[in-house]
Amino acid sequence: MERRPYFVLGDLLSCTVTGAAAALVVARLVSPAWSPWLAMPVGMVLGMLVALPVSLIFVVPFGFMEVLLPGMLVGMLAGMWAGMEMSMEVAIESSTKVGGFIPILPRLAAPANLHGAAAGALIGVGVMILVYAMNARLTRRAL
Amino acid sequence: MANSAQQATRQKWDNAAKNFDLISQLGPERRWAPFKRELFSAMQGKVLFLAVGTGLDIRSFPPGQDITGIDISPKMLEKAAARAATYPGDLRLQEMDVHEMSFEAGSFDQVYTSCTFCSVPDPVHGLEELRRVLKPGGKLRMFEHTGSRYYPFRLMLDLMTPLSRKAGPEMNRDTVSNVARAGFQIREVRNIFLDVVKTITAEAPAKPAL
Repeated sequence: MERRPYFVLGDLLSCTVTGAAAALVVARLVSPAWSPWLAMPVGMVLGMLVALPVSLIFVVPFGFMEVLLPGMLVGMLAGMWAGMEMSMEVAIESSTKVGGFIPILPRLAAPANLHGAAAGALIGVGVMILVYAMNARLTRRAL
Repeated sequence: MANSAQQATRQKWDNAAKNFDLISQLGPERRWAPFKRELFSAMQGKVLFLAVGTGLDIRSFPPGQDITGIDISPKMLEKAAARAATYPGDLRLQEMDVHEMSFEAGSFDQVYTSCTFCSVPDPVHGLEELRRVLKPGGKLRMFEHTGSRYYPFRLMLDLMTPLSRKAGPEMNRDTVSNVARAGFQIREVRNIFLDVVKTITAEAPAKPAL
């Protein structure tokens, strides 16, 4: 498992920036009028498309596969989350108008603002921890 | 005379030579350097180093070895020449395609590769050539990135490959299986990052295959 501070911090930076960028871009492109069943796969694909060029920026200072693979996974998950949030926002707002029980959620979770970027960055941190855990397990295994 | 596939491969890597150090030197090579140094520390006897590129790996070679480095790209070799000149040992560079090496059978005790078989157009044929130039019982030691057995990484590597192939490597090759298919006996596979970046140690059969 990677323990050199330069690369650990680099992985953290690349995952958080990639997650924030993917969530923000997907939130801008997915319409709140979309069905969540459409918004989720479209968000995943868009998220990966955003993640690829963003990750490539971090390849030069921090590594090749170690940056690209977590970056693509972050993009997929952050894009999926942003797509679903945008599409579900309309439904949640509708429910609040008729006496719904979660009036604060749309504002806190709206991906088209800083909360969205922060959520994408948090997904990035989660993916980094997951990849480090998988890596620790797989690098112990030999043929 | 070079065929069209060779010319296309040479052209691709000649084009890549210009920015290769810029892209690889700071992040990827620094990250992998400790693992490469460990792998290369086993060098002994007559060594063939395949696809020496711009020579970034030369600094990880143990001193005092007898090494022949080959690459298909003359532009890569031009850049490697300065690094080769500083190596404290016997290091010769030659322009050569792994599919058609001019070395006699059994010329080398060991063969090393570093991120090479993601790019060799016909990997099994290339590996068979390596087996030919190795002495019976000679060692093949590889530092390679390969495809993954695990979703979602496998899917991502499959998706990236059509794009990456145009500029350089394929991301989803099953190099461990290719080594076995080329007639080597696999001795050790060690994962460096997930099951994607790994070292492979294999041995040429004691008796050459008929």
